[in-house]
Amino acid sequence: MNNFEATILISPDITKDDHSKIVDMIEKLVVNEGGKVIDKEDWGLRDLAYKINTLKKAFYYFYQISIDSQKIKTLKNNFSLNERIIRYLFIKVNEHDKLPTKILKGNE
Amino acid sequence: MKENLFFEIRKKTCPLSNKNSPKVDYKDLKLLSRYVTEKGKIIPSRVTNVSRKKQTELSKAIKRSRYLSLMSYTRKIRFT
Repeated sequence: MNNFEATILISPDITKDDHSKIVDMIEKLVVNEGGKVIDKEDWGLRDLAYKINTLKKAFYYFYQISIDSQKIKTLKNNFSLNERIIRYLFIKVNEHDKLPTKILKGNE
Repeated sequence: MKENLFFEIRKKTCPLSNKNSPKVDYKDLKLLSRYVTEKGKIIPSRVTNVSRKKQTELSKAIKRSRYLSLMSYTRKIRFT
């Protein structure tokens, strides 16, 4: 088991039901692959620094998970098939930092 | 030499490898924006005096936050 940080961008032009569905789906996927969601954070609707597929804003979600590093491949596959997920980034870390992250502190 | 008394030779140290210095992270936009020019380029370490080890961490963090669209790759400067 390894520790990973995952940030996921979800496109803003969806209804609230779809929105909660996707968030549930992400957590289910991690659990199905034998991982664990340690903590999560909602960064909310943020402005993008540049346009992605003509979108100017996106919902940001940040997860701290522990999972086998080989299972990340299947997670990435699933995310890339989903049209609502614009972008995702997995980063391996030795130890998880304490929440909240610094990006939220800067907004205040 | 009299002048040397007034101008002490001081070594410039890396601002990121101190004990109290903040951790380099791709989510810390305030820190990263200090090491980027107005246009969005990474400032070389010979200007900012960051050590080589920390500079690689910095450039990695900046590239990650660029991919997540937290920072821009380029930015136009508008003269008003």
